[in-house]
Amino acid sequence: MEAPPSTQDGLSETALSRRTFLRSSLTASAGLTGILLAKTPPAFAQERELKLLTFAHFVPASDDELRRQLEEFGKQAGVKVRMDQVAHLQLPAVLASEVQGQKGHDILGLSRFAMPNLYAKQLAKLDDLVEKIGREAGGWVNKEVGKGGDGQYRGVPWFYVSFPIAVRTDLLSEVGEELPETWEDVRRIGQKLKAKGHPLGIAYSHCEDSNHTLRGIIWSFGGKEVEKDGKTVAINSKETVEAYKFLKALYDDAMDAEIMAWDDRNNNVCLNSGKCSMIFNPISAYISARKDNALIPGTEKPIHLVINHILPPKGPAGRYMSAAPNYVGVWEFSPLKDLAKEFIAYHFKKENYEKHLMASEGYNQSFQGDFTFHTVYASSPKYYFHPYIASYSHAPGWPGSPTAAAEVVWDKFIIPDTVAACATGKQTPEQAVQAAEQEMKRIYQRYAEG
Amino acid sequence: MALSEAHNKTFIDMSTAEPVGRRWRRALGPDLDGYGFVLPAAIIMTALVVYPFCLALWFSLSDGMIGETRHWIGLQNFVYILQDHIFLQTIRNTIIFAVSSVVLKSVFGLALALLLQRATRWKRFFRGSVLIPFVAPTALTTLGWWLIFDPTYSHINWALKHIWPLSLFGLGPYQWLGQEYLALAACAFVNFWRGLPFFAVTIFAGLVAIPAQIYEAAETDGASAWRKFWHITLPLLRPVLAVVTLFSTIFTLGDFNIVYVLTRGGPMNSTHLFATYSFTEGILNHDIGVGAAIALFLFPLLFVIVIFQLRMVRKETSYGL
Amino acid sequence: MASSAIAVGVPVQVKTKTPTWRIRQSVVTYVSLMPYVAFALFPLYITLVTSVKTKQEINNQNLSPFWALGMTIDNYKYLAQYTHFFDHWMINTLLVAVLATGISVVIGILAAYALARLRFRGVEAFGVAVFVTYLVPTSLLFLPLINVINFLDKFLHIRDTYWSLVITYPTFLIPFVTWLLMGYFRTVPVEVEECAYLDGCGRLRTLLTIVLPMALPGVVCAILFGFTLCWNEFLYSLVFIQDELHKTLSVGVVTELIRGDIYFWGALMAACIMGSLPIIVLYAFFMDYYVSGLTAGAIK
Repeated sequence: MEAPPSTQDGLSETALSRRTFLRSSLTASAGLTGILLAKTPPAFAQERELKLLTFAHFVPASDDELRRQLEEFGKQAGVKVRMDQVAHLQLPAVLASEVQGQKGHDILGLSRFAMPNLYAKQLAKLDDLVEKIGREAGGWVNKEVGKGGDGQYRGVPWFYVSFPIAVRTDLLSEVGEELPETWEDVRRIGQKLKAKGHPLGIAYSHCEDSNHTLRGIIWSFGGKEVEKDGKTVAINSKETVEAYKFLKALYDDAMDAEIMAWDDRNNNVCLNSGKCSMIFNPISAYISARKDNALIPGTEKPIHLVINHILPPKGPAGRYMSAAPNYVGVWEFSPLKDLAKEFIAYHFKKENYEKHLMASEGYNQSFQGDFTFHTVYASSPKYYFHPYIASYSHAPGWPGSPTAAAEVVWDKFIIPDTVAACATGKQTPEQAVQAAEQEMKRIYQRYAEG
Repeated sequence: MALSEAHNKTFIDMSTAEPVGRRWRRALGPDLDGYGFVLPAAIIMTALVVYPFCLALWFSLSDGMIGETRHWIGLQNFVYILQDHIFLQTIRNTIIFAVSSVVLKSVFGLALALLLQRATRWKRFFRGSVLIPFVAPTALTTLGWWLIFDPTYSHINWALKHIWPLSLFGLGPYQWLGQEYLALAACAFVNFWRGLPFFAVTIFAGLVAIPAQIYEAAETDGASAWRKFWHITLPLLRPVLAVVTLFSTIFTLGDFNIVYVLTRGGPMNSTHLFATYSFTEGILNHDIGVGAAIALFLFPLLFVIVIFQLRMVRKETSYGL
Repeated sequence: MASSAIAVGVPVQVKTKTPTWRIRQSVVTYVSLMPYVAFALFPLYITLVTSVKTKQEINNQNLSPFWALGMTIDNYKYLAQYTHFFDHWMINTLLVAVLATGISVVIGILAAYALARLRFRGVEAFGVAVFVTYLVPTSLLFLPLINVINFLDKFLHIRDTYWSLVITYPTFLIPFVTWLLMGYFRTVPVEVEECAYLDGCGRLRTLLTIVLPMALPGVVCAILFGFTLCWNEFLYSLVFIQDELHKTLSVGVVTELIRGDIYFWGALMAACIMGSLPIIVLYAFFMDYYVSGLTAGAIK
């Protein structure tokens, strides 16, 4: 058998074809590369670029305003700027990858309540900035949020979103009821309206709304996750068991089984479709009902006309509800740290901050004293609750400060899961609370060292 | 050369063709340019998979949050997760999810492949439409399924209530994503819907490759359709079935998107899979050591299964009769 | 008769081929196929119907979800006007899919041929290694992969561009392509290759001119599946690219059309339809080639 022409032989024919093949493919790829490179900025001609990463805001106009301010700042400071957005549920993945690679954006919009604590080692200290802003804007409403584990600020408290009750006032008057003042009122009214096909809507599932609302209810009964030190697990108490008992009664009497599968959007959908009579939600449901011109089923009447927002009801221990804080932070590893801090100071200047606040159409609530009673909240009777709810709203982790361990308890949906187990009868209230305590102790122990 | 003999050979014997070389060349095998052929793949896989995989392995055996310096702690992360009742439930969920989905996909995939082979008219329509679940973007079709299972708007519940004759039974409304076992079944069902085309098309290609002479020979011997299927089709499909099932099991065990969109692990953790729980622990909670431990938990078992399967497939020749 | 049987690939019964039997067999076949078709197309039908509904209709619980009363293309217009769906995301996704699939298939062909035919030490280990890389889920792998991307970014600007995806997508494409093609290469008769060697062809040339044409259905299959995997990928794209203009379809859609607790269902469903169209077109176009390639390959 002949040897294959792998080395010496056949250079004439095969090599020639190889050469022509190479030549033609080189020219083709050179042309293609040219086209492709045109879409890619050259690596060497990079000036300073200030990059901001934030979550896509519910009201796109506020993001547009933020972008406008960033661009203006860029012009003044003589740098290129860029603002990128990510869906808020995906923000943790992007932040994790930036921390892992120690490279990424400079300024960050932080959407989860304990991000300054969780990422404390990766975020720049902002104490001086926070102090300056607070001084100029009437003080901070809440002095606990935004701090890392060492008590120093890692995130400037940007705005928070509160959880009033959105009620169908027409349905309430149908059953001859006034607006609910206590949780017992809610249960009674919900029971009456459930019989008419309009149940109450509070999620007992894996979503943010569930975590927020259930914490508010537990607090209203005197229960708490942790003590004020933020480290001792205190959930297993008589008050919490009472709260769980109430939550089970609320589910049985006033709610539909569908709440076990709810996501954050479902309570909006339930209200706007005319099914639910009351939900706990920021004003997003109302705003979208207005924008979409959703109608009361069977009529031509817009449903947003009969939706109103009231303060969360009182429990035996008082009136408490959770709120969702958001912060602005700067990566410690950013090469443009000082410039980033300058932008934050620029953004928090009263006139700029006010524009951003107004662009959110009343959705955002400020942590700064001077903006608590802003006129935007008076622009509609549906927004009047905003300044008042501030005194009853607390960040998750209360009465402790928002810690990494509290966020882990949040992410693992310990409270919604145990409440659901109790409500469906899988566990007794005592068992459910005990299970929650066990889980929480495990988590707090692990994150105590960290 | 007889067909059977030809296909028994799986490689070309070139050793006698080579000129006599040095011993070290012989020791590495006669086809040295094979190294050149696999080199590009080897480079990419080493840089972009082996290295990150080793890093992930290091994560699982060390402590520290994302971005912090890490210290060796051995198997402590694994011990930690085995004490986590959510993780134990995740193991159970994943096994039920994967087994049920893969079994459904194999059975119906085979049936569908047989049907596609027999359909001689409107071939493009049938083959095209059946492929669509696999082809359409996953992130978006899962949203479509979310609508179908929606707690308030579920199309299924609506149909059960309004469409005759289903409405006669007075069924539902069911909480497709709100009841523990229903939710896991719903997720497995969506996975089945999405993966069925993959099975069907690959098995179909295997079916078509079986030479018709074999069937003809069996017919002249008087074999019925069932005997042909059981004694000819199935054995000859075994290598294809083995590879497809293996791939599908691996993909299904690592499924993330369906649960992430439909249930986020709920209700009450009844749908958490390895990938979603590892994401919660590793990325959301920042505890990358635990996250890596969860993701790599099945790795030893899968590794053994893969080796075993590969040995079996390599031993099988396509037409060993 | 034998050749037509091969071409169609249907087992032919020599004995009872009465016309009624034939009709009965056909009817059974096509009727049995209908449920599968309905099952496959049902969610897409729902998606299509929802994408042409107005917002009010979507919200209305009493109306049928299976039919749209007032059809509108507003949702598609929204996609075109208010998002970068068509002008950037679609193009990015296409580029990434084409490039990544191309690279993977080329590398995969070489590797598969080596693993299927050539003997050298380590071939078995390499085959196993290639497959084992699949056992690590991407939902974990993306984090260490960031380090590699950042390292490469020091030399070439790939971060925040689709090049980062073109480099990383082959990691999950190559194993699959390699394994798929290994099977197809093995079905090519060995004598044909040996003939080529006798005629004086080199290894590479044999691969390109003899083996590849015979295994073409497998290659087309690999290209199609590879393209699909690229098109559908979400996590790497989310993490490596945040620049609005460089995003791929799935990430861009989720960012723009899901805001907090509000989902723009109409536009989301329209995006699903438009996002599936290119790939459906691709499959439809290649389906004939795929099918004829399969039947041609069956002639031995």
